[in-house]
Amino acid sequence: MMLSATNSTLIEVENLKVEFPTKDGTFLALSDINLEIKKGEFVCLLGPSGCGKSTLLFSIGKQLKPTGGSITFNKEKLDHVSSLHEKMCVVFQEHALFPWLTVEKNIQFPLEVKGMSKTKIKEISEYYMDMVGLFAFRDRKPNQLSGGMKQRVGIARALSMETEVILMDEPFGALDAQTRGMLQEELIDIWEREKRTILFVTHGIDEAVFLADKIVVMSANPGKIKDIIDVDLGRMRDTTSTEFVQYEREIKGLLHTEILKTKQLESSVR
Amino acid sequence: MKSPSSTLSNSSDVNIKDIKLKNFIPIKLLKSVGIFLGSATVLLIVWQLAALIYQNETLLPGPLVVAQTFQGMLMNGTLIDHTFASLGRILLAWTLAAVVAIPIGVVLGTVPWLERMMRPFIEMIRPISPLAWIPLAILWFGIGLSGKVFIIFIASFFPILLNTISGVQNVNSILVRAAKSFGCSPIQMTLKVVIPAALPTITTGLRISFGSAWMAIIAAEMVASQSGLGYMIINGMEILRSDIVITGMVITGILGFIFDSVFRYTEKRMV
Ligand SMILES: Nc1ncnc2c1ncn2[C@@H]1O[C@H](COP(=O)(O)OP(=O)(O)OP(=O)(O)O)[C@@H](O)[C@H]1O
Ligand SMILES: [Mg+2]
Repeated sequence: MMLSATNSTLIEVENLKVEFPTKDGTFLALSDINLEIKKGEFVCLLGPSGCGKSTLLFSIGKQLKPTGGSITFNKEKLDHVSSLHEKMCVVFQEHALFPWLTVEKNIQFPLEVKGMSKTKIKEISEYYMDMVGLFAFRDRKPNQLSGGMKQRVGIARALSMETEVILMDEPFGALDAQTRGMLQEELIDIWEREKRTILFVTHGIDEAVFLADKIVVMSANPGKIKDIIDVDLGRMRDTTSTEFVQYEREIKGLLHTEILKTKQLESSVR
Repeated sequence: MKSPSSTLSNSSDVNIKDIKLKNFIPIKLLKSVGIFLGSATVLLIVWQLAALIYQNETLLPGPLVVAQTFQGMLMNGTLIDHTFASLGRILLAWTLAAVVAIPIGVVLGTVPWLERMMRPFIEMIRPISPLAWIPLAILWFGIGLSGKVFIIFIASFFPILLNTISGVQNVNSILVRAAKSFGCSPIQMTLKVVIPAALPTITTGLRISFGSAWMAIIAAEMVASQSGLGYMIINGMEILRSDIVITGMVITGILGFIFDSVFRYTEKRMV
C-alpha cells in the first residue's frame, strides 16, 4: 500500500542555481542541485550552517526565485502551478508569527485567508493547538511565549493547512528532548496516516536518521548536494540498534569532512 | 534541617520583593513627581524674581498675576470655549490628514518606484512653515473654517505620511514571506499583514503630527478668528495683555503635554 503511493515523483529539482545580489557582485548560494522527492516520502536536509538548506526549501516553496535550473511539482513547472498554498505549507526557521495576533489567531490566519467557515476554523485550530500542547496559551501574544512555544505555534499553523507537502525548516530546533520526541512521533503519525510528503531541514543527525526515508547531505561554499542516503530501516525505529548507529556514523563522517573543509576555506579567506 | 532552610529562602523572598517594590513602584514615581515639582518651583521663583526686578506688568507679568488671569478666564468660561474651539479645528484637520496620508503612505511604501518619484516633492514641500501657507489658505479656502483646517492639515499631513511609508517599508520580510505561503492576495497582504505590522510606526506618526497640529493652531487662528487659543494669544498681544498671552501659552503647553502622554501610553500598549 505504501509502495504504490511512493512510486511517482512529486517534486523534481534539476540543476538548480541560486545567487544572491551582494554589494560586490553576487553570492552563489546553491549550484548544481538535483533532487527528486517522491510522493509520500520523508526527506531530511542535513548540512553545515550556511550551506543553503533554507534557500533550497524556499526555492521549492516558491518563496524565492532561483537564478537557474528548474523545479517541477507533479511534472508541472512551479511557476505554472496554480494556488500552490493549497498544496504546500511552510514551517519557518524564524517562526514568522504575526506579533499582533494571539496564538489562536496566528494558527487561524491561513484558514481565514482560505475563506473557511468559522466553525471549521475553530475546530481545526483547536485540534492542532492541542496537538502542540498550547491550548492553555491560546490567548497569549507571541512575545509572551518562549522560543520553543513559538516554534510549536509555527508548526501548528502550518499543519492546520493540511496540505499534501510540508516544508519544515528546523522546526524542532529550540525544543527540549521530550517535546521534540513527542512531536517527532506526532509528525510521523500524521505523515503515515495522511500520506503527506515532507521535506525537513535539521541539524540533528539522530533526528534525520530517525525521521527520514532519504537524507540529503549538503556541503557549503557553494551549496551543493554531497550525498543522498536512503535509510532502509522500518518505522518505529530503535535509536540504539546497530543499524541506526551505523547510519549515524556514516553521516557523521560525511559531515565531518565538510566542516573541516568549511573551516579551511574560512581561514584561507582571512 | 528543614526549618532553617525554609526561613532562609523565605527571608530572601521577602528581600527580593522589597527591592522590587522600592525600585519600581512608589519610589520611582515619587522621584519623578518630586523632580518635576522641584524644577517647576525653581522656574516659578525665577520668573517671579524677574517680574519683581523688571517692574513692568504689561510686558512681564509675574506668575501670580498670570495665575489670577488664568483663574478668571477659567471661571467665566472663556478659557474653556477657546480651548474647545481650537481642539475642534485640530481634531477635524488631523483626522482629515490621517485619512488622506495613511492610504497614500501605504501605496508609496509598497511601490518603490512611485516612492522614489514622489520623494523629492515631499521633501521640498515638507519644510515649508505652516505660516507660509496662510496666503494660499485664504485665497483657496477663504477666511472661514476651511482655511484654518487647511493650515493645520498641512502641518499634520507629513509626519503621518513619512511614518506610514517607513512603517510599510520596514515590515519584516519573513512575515510577508509567510503570508505569501498562505496564499494571501495583494489586498489581503496589505490589510492583514502590512498595515497591522506598520501600525506602531503609523501611531508614532499620528502622535508627532498631533503635536505639529497643535503648534500650527496659532498660525491657523491668525486668519480672521474670533475664538481659539491662537486667537486668544494674538488678541492678547493686540490689547497689550501679556498675562493673557502667557495664559494661552501655558494652557497650550499643558494640553500638548497631556495629549502627547496619552499617545505615548497607547503606543506602548500596542507594541
Ligand atoms: N537574502 C540573502 N541575501 C544574501 N545572501 C543570502 C540571503 N539569504 C541567504 N544568503 C546566504 O546564502 C547562504 C545560505 O543561506 P541559508 O539560509 O540557506 O543557509 P542554511 O543552510 O539554512 O543555514 P542555517 O543552518 O544556519 O539555517 C548563506 O551563506 C547566506 O549568507
Ligand atoms: Mg536555515
